[in-house]
Amino acid sequence: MDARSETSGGIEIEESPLNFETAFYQHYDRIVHAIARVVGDPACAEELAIEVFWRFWRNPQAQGEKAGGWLYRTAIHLGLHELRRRARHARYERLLRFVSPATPEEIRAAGEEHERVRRVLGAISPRDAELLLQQNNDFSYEEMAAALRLNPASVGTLIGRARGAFRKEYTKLYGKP
Amino acid sequence: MANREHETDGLMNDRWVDDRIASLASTGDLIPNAGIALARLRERRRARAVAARGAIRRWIWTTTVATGAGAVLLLAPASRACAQQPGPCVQRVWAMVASNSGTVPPPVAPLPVAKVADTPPSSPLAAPVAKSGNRGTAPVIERANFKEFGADTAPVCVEIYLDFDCPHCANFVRDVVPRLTAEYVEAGQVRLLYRDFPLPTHRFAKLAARYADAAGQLGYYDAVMKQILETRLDWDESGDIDTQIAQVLPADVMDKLRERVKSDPRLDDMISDDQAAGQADHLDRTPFGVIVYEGRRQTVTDAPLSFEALKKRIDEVMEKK
Repeated sequence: MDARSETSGGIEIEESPLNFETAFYQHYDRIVHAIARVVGDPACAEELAIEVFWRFWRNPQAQGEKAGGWLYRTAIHLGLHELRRRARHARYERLLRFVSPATPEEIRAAGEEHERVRRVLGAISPRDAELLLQQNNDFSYEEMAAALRLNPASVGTLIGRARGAFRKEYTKLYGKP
Repeated sequence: MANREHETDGLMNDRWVDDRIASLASTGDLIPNAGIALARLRERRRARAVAARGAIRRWIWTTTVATGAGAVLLLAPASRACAQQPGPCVQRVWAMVASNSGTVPPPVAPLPVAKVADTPPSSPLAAPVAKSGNRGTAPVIERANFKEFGADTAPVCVEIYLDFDCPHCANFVRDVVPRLTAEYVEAGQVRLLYRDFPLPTHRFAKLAARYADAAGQLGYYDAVMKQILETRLDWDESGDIDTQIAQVLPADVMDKLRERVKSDPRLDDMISDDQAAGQADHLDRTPFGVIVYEGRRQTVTDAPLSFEALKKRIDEVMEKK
């Protein structure tokens, strides 16, 4: 507390390194696009982006210099969670298929490659899916290791295994490519 | 040769997978609306606070009614009659009813409603406060927001961010809050809400906030908050806030308070929530005021944060009503 703040009638504080609103406007667009890549649905992507920033708001420790990385990892995590939720929903729907056959739209969507990829990502383990998405977005091995609490030396091997798991699941669902 | 083929297959497989992942393209025409999203975030936060308050109020009301009904059953004459003579008690009750002109039953005793203890005149309308020396068991009220004072129906809410190691905050609570209470809070026009914003430069400010919030969980926020602010110079070097608070709370309550300060994780969540709100409000000093009216937040940038500055803003928004 210094003399200046005494006369101003309050203790002035330094501007916090990462004001929440500044971080919001800085990262919101990128986070929405990242989630939209994963889930393929713009409206859903915006909803999930709000959830990401809600968690960011409630987590002051994340509001630092590495806020961008935290936000992106959380966004991918929520996007993959949404894919897995859809995969579970699709499994239950298949059980009821004799009651409600697939619509032409559903049949067309299932044939599209990116829908297949999303379904496979939702089916493999969360860690493998996150590794593949982060590696595809040019995260360094150190960043991936920090995000997933892995030994940096093993990230390369785990990415290889994730690729194998992806191909195996793809083959299981859609036949050999 | 076989190894080279195997390596080539592996590389092709890797490339195949990477190409599949890269094929996930975001929709080109997606234009996120950050302004709407931010407004929805703020609304979600407010809704959460309101829902928590509502849930606690419902719980208190249900408990009060159940307690009152139990008290009536115990105290009503019919109960005693039944206890004395279970067999003919029904006949006694019937006789009592029949004695009132045969058609109108005797008036039902009003359910006693548990009252909040009278608030000391020096404090804003608040949760029960026990004075030192009173060794009776104090009511424990787990309110969602014990830092809120005034009528729920008040149209304006004045939010004040405090740092417990800030002398200006101490002056504010001592000098401005009583005037604000007398003129606006007691008139039902303003609801006062305190928020914690311990500054990182004040070593024990967060601990002080934990003590105040834990005391609030036990129904003693007002008394403890003021004690902490008034004795700031006695604890800001040593961090011995406990000794100061023990002067205003009974021993049994102090034990509960210490336990909560030591181990209740919700206290840090409360402080973090307030700090996040302060950052969103662009807080740059303490004490810091925000006027909330019809969902709109307006920061009070006047320094110092005086009664006159608040009065001017409150009167301005009230005129728009």
